[in-house]
Amino acid sequence: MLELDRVTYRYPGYARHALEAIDLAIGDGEVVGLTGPNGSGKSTLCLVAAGLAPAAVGGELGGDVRVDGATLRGLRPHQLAGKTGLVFANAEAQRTRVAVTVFEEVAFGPVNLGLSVAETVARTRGAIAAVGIEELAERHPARLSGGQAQLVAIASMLAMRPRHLVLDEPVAELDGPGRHLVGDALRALERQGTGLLVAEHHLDVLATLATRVAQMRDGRIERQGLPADVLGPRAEASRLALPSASDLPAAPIAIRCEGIAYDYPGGTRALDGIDLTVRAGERVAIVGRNGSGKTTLVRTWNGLVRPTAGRVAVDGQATSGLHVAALARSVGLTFQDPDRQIFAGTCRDEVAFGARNVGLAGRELEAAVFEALDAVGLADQATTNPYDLGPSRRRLLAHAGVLAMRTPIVVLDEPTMGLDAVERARVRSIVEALAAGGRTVVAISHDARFVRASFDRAIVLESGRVVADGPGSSIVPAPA
Amino acid sequence: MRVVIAATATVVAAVVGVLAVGVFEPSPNPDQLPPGANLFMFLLAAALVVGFVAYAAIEWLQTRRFESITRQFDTRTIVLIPLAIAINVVLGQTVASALKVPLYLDSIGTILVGVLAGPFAGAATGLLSNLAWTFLFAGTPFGSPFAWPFAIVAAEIGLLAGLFGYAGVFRSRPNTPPGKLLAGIVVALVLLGALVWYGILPHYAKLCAGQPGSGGSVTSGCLDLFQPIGSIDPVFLVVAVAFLVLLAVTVIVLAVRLVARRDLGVVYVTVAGAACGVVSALIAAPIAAYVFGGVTGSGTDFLVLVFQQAGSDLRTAVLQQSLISDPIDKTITFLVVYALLRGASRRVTVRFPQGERAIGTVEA
Amino acid sequence: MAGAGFVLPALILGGLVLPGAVVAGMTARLLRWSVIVTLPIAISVAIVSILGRAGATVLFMIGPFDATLEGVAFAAEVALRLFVVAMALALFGLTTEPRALVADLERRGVSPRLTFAAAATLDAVPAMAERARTIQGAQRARGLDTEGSVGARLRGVLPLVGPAILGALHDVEARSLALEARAFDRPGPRHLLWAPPDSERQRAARWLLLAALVALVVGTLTGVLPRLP
Repeated sequence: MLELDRVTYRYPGYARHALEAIDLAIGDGEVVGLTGPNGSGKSTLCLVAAGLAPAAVGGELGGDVRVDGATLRGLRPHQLAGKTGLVFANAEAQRTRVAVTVFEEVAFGPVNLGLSVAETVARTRGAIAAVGIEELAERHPARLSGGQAQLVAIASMLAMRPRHLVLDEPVAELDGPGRHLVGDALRALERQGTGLLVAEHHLDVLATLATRVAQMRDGRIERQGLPADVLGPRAEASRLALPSASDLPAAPIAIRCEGIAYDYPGGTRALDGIDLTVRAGERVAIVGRNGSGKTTLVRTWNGLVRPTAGRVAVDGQATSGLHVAALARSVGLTFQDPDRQIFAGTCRDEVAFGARNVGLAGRELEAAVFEALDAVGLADQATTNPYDLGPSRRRLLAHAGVLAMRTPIVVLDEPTMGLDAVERARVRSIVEALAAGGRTVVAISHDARFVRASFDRAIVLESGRVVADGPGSSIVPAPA
Repeated sequence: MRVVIAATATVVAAVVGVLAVGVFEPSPNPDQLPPGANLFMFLLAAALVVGFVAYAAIEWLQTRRFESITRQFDTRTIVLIPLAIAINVVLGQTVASALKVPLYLDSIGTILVGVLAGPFAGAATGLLSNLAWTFLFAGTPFGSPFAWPFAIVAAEIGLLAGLFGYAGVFRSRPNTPPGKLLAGIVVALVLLGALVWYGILPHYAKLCAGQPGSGGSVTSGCLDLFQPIGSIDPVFLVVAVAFLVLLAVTVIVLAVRLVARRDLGVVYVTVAGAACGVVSALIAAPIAAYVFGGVTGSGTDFLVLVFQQAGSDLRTAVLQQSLISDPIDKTITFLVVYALLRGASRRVTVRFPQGERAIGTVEA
Repeated sequence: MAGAGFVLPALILGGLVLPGAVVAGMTARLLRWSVIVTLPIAISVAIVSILGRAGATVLFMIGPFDATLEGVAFAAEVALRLFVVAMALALFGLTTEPRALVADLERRGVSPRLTFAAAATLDAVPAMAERARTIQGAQRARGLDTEGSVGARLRGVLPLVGPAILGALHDVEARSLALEARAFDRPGPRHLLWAPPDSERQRAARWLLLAALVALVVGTLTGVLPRLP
């Protein structure tokens, strides 16, 4: 039993509380879901429930956190072993980076506990079996798919044999199959009697997993109850009447790929003969598993990836021989990881970075920057340091950075990853506004609802080939 | 208390060492480092170790723990140190060596750790950085077999950066009232002047001795060798121009920051950087002279040649070179770190062992 | 005159390092790396000491600089030393699996925190390079032109430094939490899963080398062995 009793928490360096009067209990074998908008305190609650705040983060805790009646107060982080464990969204950030096999990676915790070699090996084997990744044990932990890497992170925590596991958006960064892998593993844990606290936006996952759901707002728990009561009817349905793709053939061709192939320097084939035409004003979603070549494909459009065979034309002009910077005037493209595209000290400068590079200046620049910030709902954060924003808002900021470039073609890589419902709605209206303005929008996405609601065409990639191409609603199945 | 005693112990150890070995004549001859100059570095290292042991011993006696030292090596620091080393190695190796700019730029990571985590963590980062560079990366494109002799210098830089961070030098001070700003600038200029006058110029006295009244200024023309240089080798000229451009850019950036944000912090950081540079030069020069015949393979080497031709022997010439390039390099590096810390979220910096003290809190 | 200074480095090179390299079968790689890292600094040494060193035998003059035979001898001696240092380190680096080194250090009682830092450093440099590449790609995608001429590429380096370092700094938080959640902060010894194999012969060789090192240091300090002029 993990209990939070009248918990308040303040981060170091802050005057205000991030959590207020939290009462929550997670019984053995119980799965409690945690929802609420980004910034409402879910991640903080996860840290506190796992005992790492204040033990590892610092700050000030009011009230009490207890595991099986014993307080966590005053415990050093390593003394939490066996009581609580924490897994978060980014599998890569959780990797030790000193292990060269998955087995070593999972064994890192038990070794730290000073266990005998036999005990370490036993625990590691057990943890690896618990999430069903025995066949990955000898692989390098950096060379796994997103779902596999997250399973390794979960196994790494299980090897500590925690009574309770806290998971902060464990499937936020995973594709559909990855979500299923992790979901199955969590259900298995539930059956074994491990108490789970799961913060997640993917309500589908919560609805099938959680025995109880707590909804947060402004650092408080607003509501607690059965999943069906708290989450409500799970219909984020597509209520938009989309123009069908057949309305568009008259439009000029924005992007044309002819037989493009790309081999990684190591020789692995990423793209294997792709023929594709996207017309101006179309809304196209590119879907497919991790590693199917989606990101590589869109990067051939602005020259970041130069195909080893075939040709790409943007607005009728061949891309070969053109600098990326020149193509950026036609194709605005975001990267999947927002943290690799922060270049400036304030949100305003950040959004202006690309706009300035493509030649906007003066009034026009200012207007473009303001419009873009407004579109993503960050107009009041113009002077904020991007790193002071939460991860979901950093992603929105990256969108703004591309919107401000006012390119005829906008390509977004996983635009809704990690966003809450309100933020997702914002991205949907951005896509609509762009299309209404006659601009071409392409998005890579694992978010089936988003694809079905906002795109008139979906292209499915598999192993570097197009395996399906047609109306989004008929190609992408509705989420269960 | 501990700090004072430790500092005293360091100085005493250094003086005793110097007296015992007799490295220095009572009145050091400014145009020539004494023959035992390489011993000076060992003495200094030994003195630093003595100071450290003294500090640790006192803390142990007072509290039976090494809390103030171990605290600097919390998990965040341990995670940051490898990144800092990577920053040092990548920048030092690629930017500085490959571009041949007359700078080293190989201590940004060290200074970052010093400021955020504390003096001991900074010193450890410097030390590990050069050791990793030499041993861990030997045989790879990132390896440099000639970094290890300078490990002590890197440690000193991290230590000083940590102390400056502890003293709050790296705090941002925007919108300082004009009066205070002016006073700060004056004090800084006085400090810089004193540093130059006592720390740097004596080592050039011999060069200018023949020019009565020139006051020891290197640029006033007492070095008549600066004239023929233009006609010798365009490479030297290019390096010299690059050097001056860098200097000018720094001054301009500094001035803009001062005028636009009225940020007194940059003034403090400049003085601290220059001071750190002088100390580094004094330690590094004998090493460079002894191990490498006075060169580092970077753009600063031409200066050694110039000073040698002006009549200094190798070791003095290396020192004279270092006393020009190190303060400039460290000032620029300190300013770079200052700018980086302004770009960092305080949410993040505040959680490092010395972060709150060095940078400030998130909210009042 | 110069002969004495050459003997010892040449002896170390010919008697220890080169045979080691031949046995390890990596002479070519060793030589290539050592030449690459020694060359720039050797050229500097050559210029500075040949032109800067005073001496009796003037070979030729360039402007006000006179090249002396003594300078040439000195430069050759320094360059040889540096080359030997580079070769020895390269032999160490190319024959020693860094992770084995780190594991061995830990087995010998070095703090797990220190060995973790060392092991993480191995990963950090390529990771930093990879991070820089990604950031540069993102900057290009937003219209920053860093392709083509050398000048353009150099201009691209500067806007890279800040984001790369700050990004790395902001990663520290999540990574340190992940480590703390796995008892990284626990003091005390660990039972390692693996240690590099060792043998009697290796042990003997290490002691021998250590003794040789002590002898060299003592010899140099007492003046028995030659120092640089």
